[in-house]
Amino acid sequence: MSPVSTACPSCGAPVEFRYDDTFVRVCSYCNAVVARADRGFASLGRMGDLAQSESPLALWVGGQLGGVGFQLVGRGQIAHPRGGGWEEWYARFDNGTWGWLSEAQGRFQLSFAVPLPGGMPPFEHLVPGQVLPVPLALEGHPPEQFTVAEVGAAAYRAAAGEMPYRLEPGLRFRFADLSGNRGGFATIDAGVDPDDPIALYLGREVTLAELGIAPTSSTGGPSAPEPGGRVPEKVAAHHVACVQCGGSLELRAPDSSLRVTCPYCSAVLDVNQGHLSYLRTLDKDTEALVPVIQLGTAAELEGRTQTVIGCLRRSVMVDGINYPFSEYLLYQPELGYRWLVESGGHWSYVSPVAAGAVAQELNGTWHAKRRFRHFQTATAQVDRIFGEFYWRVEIGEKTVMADYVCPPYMLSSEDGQGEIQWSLGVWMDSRDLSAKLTPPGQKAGSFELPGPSTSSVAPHQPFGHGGVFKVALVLGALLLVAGIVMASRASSRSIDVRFGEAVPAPVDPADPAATSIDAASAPASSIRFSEPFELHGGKNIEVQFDSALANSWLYVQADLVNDDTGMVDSFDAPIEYYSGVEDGESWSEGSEKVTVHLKAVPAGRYVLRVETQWPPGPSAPPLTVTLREGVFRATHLLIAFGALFLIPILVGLRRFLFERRRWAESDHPWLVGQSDE
Amino acid sequence: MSEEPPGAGRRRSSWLATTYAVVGAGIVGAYLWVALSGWEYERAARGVMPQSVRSSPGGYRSFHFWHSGFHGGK
Repeated sequence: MSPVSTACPSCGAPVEFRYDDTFVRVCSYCNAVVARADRGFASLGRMGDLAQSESPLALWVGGQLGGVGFQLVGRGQIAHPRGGGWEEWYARFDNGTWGWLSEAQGRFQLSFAVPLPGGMPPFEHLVPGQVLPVPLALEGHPPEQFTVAEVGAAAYRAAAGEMPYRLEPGLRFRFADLSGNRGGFATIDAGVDPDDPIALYLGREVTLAELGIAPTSSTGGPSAPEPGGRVPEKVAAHHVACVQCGGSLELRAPDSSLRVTCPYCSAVLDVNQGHLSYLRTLDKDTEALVPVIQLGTAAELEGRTQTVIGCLRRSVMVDGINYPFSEYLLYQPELGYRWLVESGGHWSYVSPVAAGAVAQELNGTWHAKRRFRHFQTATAQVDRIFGEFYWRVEIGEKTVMADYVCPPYMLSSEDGQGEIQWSLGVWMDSRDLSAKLTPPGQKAGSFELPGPSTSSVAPHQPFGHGGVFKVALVLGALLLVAGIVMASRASSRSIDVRFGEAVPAPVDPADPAATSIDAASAPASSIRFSEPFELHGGKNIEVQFDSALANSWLYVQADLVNDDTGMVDSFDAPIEYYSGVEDGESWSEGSEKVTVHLKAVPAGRYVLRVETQWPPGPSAPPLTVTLREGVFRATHLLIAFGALFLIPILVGLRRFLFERRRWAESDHPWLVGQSDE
Repeated sequence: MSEEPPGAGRRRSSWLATTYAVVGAGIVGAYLWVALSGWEYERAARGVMPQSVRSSPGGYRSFHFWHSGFHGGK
């Protein structure tokens, strides 16, 4: 590397080429692009002055990536065809390779030239939203699927330092920006003419820390000027006078705003580096706007204080019905632009999403491991504007919008003018959002946004009580586990209960029926006592009576008697069973078995006294008594499940109605008897 | 690749979910108590019968016997 010095062909100032492999050097005095030629040096024309930006980078700053040192030797500012632009820095690595460091809204992407793989479609065939048929992979990284985000043409408006290619002022080069599904990005540079070679640059997002670069100022202050060069004009937030009425306007993002409206005369003004020019005057009745959120309002969102700088009123026409919605443009130098969108009193906070981060499929999209269902596709039109904007907004501007929902998120695409833009909105409660807004001159929390009507449902509004289902799932699982544990702990031990001889039940002298002449037709009865048996206590008791009845009944009255304390649990069990054949069909009624459950008794010796009564007849029906202690009660578990799921079932019904209202306004309304598409 | 806006959409917890969590936990707790304690909903009447009466089979008739009124279904 041997520096070469020469005099600028345009102004005669000294120009130094520091590297052998650069093509042009921009004169830091007159902005002439000085190119190496066969016989000396030639001027290719003059670039414009660098516009001051908030970049923390500076020319000739060094860094390191992967152990290889580099230096930022060139800088370019590129004008976007629809206004605005972006910035590129050219990094020359010590191993001779060149890297392109692009910078936008505080984020950095470093790319390198890579060979164009086979199977790439011709540049002319690329359209926004198209997924490249071949995956691309940066060295050391897995292959990624790339989506075309934008196809257009741009031109350099300013440059400084040295460039590794022939930079000609004023020439518009064709490009396509692509976005990868793993965060990568790529640019296809198709040159100026169709015959020009196609270059592919592939890269990923990097941080300044990764690059080993310390910002030139703590908060993105002005970049250091070249030695001997002019200090770029700093365009700070400032007040300007409306060129139409002379009213005072405050430009809150003068570096990037391209349009501003005058709140006094409703003039639409073009903004060029803070300088205004008159375009037209809005119709105050049909095109001007009085926003609900005052311009200049501070919004504490994403951990930053953003400022409301503009407002749009747009609308979509569906089936002859106009659906208006408002969009508030937020600006914060490090974050860039965000939106607050209001529709029917529902609010959303909207951030941009890289096209490659969205995977489309039939009736839906995937983003951040969430599936979004298609909600609606419609053409949106700008009806009213107020404030400043970073693009050349116009009344009547139309884009095709497609919305996909996964509450509380909404993924939206806007397709138009050679570009597809994706954004992610998150539904916000109007009270929560109000608390984050502080209009100028007011105290925080004093502002209140209008909310939606209680009957309306936003496309991505979350169902407010969805947490009930999660709780039910957890509690249901707990209850199931508890039931399984209880069932496994339950003993099926039958207690051997032996009975002595049955004796006739004594006749109560006070009972008139027992002593009347009809006593022979009175029910017969007998009494039996069991041998003493042991109960462990502390567990429920199941007593089952089983009698082989044939069209008869048996009434059982039993006493479980603690032999030591005399405590008696007295219970009864009517048994009856009837069967027969009627009209050729057999029938039965009742049961030969009756089971009684008793609550736990203290441990001890017990006897069971069983007294039976049956219809008058020759003999007592046979009776088998089975006693078990500590039985599993499935009925109790079912009752608990029923009680547990009663509320979720009711909430589920409410959710069904909620979802039906949500989808009623979509391209896929639920029909009667259809719960989903 | 843009990421989701952190914290912007944090939802307030549903009062119903909170209430239900408390009630539901109570239901699970109640089930456990019932299952572990051997509690039963029963019609059995509990009392004390003196030893002297118990020593004389047939010497007493249960309360249920006189008051159930059961005399067969058919």
